Amino acid sequence: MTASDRAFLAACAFVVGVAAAHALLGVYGPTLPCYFPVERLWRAAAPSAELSMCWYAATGASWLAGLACGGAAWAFARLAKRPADALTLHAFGWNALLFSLGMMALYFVAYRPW
Amino acid sequence: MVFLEAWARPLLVLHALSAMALLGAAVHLLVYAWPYLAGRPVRARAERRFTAILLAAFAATFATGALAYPNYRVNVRAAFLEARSPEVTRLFDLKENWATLGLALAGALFWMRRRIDPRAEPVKARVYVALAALTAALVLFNVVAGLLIVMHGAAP
Repeated sequence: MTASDRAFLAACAFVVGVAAAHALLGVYGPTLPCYFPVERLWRAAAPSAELSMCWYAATGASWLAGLACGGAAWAFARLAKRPADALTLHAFGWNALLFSLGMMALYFVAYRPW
Repeated sequence: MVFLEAWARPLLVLHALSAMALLGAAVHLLVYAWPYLAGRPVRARAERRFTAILLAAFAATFATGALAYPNYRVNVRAAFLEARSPEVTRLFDLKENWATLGLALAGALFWMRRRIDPRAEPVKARVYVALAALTAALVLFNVVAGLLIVMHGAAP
C-alpha cells in the first residue's frame, strides 16, 4: 500500500478505536484510576464514586485504544503489497464516521440535558 | 484548597479564548475543504494549515479545560449546580465526553491531511470532508454548551 493509504487507514482506525473504547467505558463503567479533588489524590474507583473525576483516565484509556487500533492498521497496511481498493477505503472511512456518531449518540442519550 | 483553584478564572478565560480560535479553525477548515466534494479548485495550502491550527487550538482548549475541571467539580458542580440545575451538569458531562472524541478527530484530520492528496484521491477526500464536518458540528455544539454552562453558573 502507498504511504497515503497507510496514513488514511491508520487515522480512520484511530478514530474507530477511540470512539469504541470511550463508548464501552461509558456503558460498562469499569474501575479506573480516578482523581478525588477534595482529597487531592488518585485512587481506583468506579465512575459513580462520590466527588470523583474518572474522565481523565477514561480519556487516556480511549486514546491508548485508538493508538493501538491505528498502529495495528498501519502495521497491517505495511504488509499489504497492493494499493488499497475502494471498498477498503470506504469501509475504514465510513466506519470512522459511524463509530463517532454512535459514540456521540450514546453519550447524548446517557446525559440528555433536556 | 482544590488544585489550581486560585487560577480558575484566568484558566476559564484562556479556555474561552482558545475555544473561539478552535471554532474559527473548525469552520474555516470545513469551508476550505468543501470544494473537494465538487471537484472545484481549493486553496490547498491554507486548507492544510487549518488542520494544524485546529489541532493546536483543540489541544489548548482541552488542556485549559482539563486544568480548570477540578475547581468546577468541587466549587461549582458539587457546591450548587448539581442541586440547582442537574440538566446543566449533564450538558457538561456530554460536552467533556464529546471533547475526548473531538480531539482525536482533530488529530486524525491533521495526520491524514499530511499524507493524502484529496484532489487526486476522491474517496479519501469525501471521508476527510465528512470528518471535518463532524468535527465542526461537535466543536460548535461544545462551544454553545460551554457558554450555556457559564451563563447558568454566573447568572442562574
